[in-house]
Amino acid sequence: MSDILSLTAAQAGERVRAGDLDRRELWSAYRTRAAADDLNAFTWIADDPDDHAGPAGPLGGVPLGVKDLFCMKGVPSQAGSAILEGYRPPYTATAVELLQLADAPVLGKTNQDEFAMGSSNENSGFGPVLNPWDRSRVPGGSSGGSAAAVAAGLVPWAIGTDTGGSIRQPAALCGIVGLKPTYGAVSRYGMIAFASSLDQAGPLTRDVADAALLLGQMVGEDSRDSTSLAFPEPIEAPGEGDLAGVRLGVPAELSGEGIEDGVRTAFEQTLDRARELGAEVEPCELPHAPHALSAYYLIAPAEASSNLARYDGVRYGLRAEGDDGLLAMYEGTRAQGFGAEVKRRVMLGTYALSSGYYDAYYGRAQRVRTKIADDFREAFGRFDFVVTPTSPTVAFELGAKVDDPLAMYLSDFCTVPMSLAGLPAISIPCGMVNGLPAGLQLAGPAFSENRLLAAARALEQAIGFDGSGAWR
Amino acid sequence: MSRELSAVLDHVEKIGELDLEGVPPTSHVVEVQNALRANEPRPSLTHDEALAPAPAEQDGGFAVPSPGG
Repeated sequence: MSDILSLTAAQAGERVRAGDLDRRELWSAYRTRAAADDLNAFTWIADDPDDHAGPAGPLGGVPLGVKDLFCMKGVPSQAGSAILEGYRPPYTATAVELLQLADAPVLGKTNQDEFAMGSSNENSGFGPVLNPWDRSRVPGGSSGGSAAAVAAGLVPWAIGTDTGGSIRQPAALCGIVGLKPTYGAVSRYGMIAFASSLDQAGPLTRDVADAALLLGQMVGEDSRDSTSLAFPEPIEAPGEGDLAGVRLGVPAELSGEGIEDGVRTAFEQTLDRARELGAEVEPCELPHAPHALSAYYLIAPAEASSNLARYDGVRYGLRAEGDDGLLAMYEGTRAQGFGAEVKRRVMLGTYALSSGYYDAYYGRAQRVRTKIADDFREAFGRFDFVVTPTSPTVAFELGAKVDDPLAMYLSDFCTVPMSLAGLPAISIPCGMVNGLPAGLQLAGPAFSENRLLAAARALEQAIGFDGSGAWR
Repeated sequence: MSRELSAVLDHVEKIGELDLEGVPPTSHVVEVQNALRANEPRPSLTHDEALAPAPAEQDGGFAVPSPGG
């Protein structure tokens, strides 16, 4: 049992394929752990699957955790919201379908902030998730269930979604790897939408090799998502290498002010490791990055206010009862079904889009978005990657920021710029600060995932982070 | 709620300080032209599948309260 747990997903899959590990034994080891979950990481756990016929596929029968907002046919899929109570979709998201076809059976759906709006997993209709390193703290969000489950060894790997940091930030706070791919690399079909121009699915895993393996089976153009793109090359397993000649740009705007001391120390120590591995580490400029959070908190709520208009008690989910007519039913359903943060963002987004305010808010935010993308383009003229801390803090106490939305939003300070520019970015654990993991973020140009994974792998091996403290 | 929203608005209003004259807006980062599929029928959900998740159904449609109350 502890043998199985100590394997990465890629190692477990390899053993299954080689006939050295029984896939049913692997499933039942994790099924047992997931069923005993006391972190509230899962919202639904699968029954044992039918016996697998034929040889193992590329993912080796390694069980997968799936964030609740991915639709799965006949399986509860609520995006962490009470308004979708009882919803069992009639179809399955493309990303999940691809991973199932590649032989990753779904072990369970994972908890999340409602409609992926949050950075602590406290905005969930299913209640908060606990951080396995310290149960009085949050796991980050919005993919907090996926991150906590992987870190705690309740599932070998998982997928989540990232709109402004929702894969990377919880990965950092839980001491695992999280990758947000280039916008368009993974189909959004069947992902319950938050902000459509930003939402992107990606892996949360124990190490970089697992992330590459999972990503390789998720990418691809999908006729059911018109913004999806064919990935220009196969995703490769990262080899054993160093960082010789790799140019890393460190933006002062995202690595100085506002970063907690311990996180900054861990970050700087990791930059020293990168230098030892042969990287050139120099300051770079992203002058508009400090405005990214403002632009994001106009654009994302604006898109959300439009996307969430569909929850009206007519076609699926919750309906408020009453005899006061259609309008009262709409209002009652939304008042009852949405949590406070979702209401806040719908109001903010509606305001940003309203006549008379559109130009000053939404219109300006879209122009800031252009400037941020331009900043990155310029930086990547001189550097291979931009490197920052993933989160300005380590995992914070449950309840610490629930009454202060702005403080919560600042958790995404370092991750939001890459989202607005549609760039791939990966978070890897880079050290411990007072018993809690800190994350380092590497971001590259669009479709640079292979190079990004190779650099992250080299750094990961030099860091030698030991995540077993969260599951032993 | 209004106090929290005001704090958020105060923060986001900082983008008003930037000179954005002549900067084009970005609504989407993917450089694809309007992607329209061929206007041909293809398989989709059946009537029953589409209605199954509805809170209320009547005569093969979504049932809603009367608009008049």
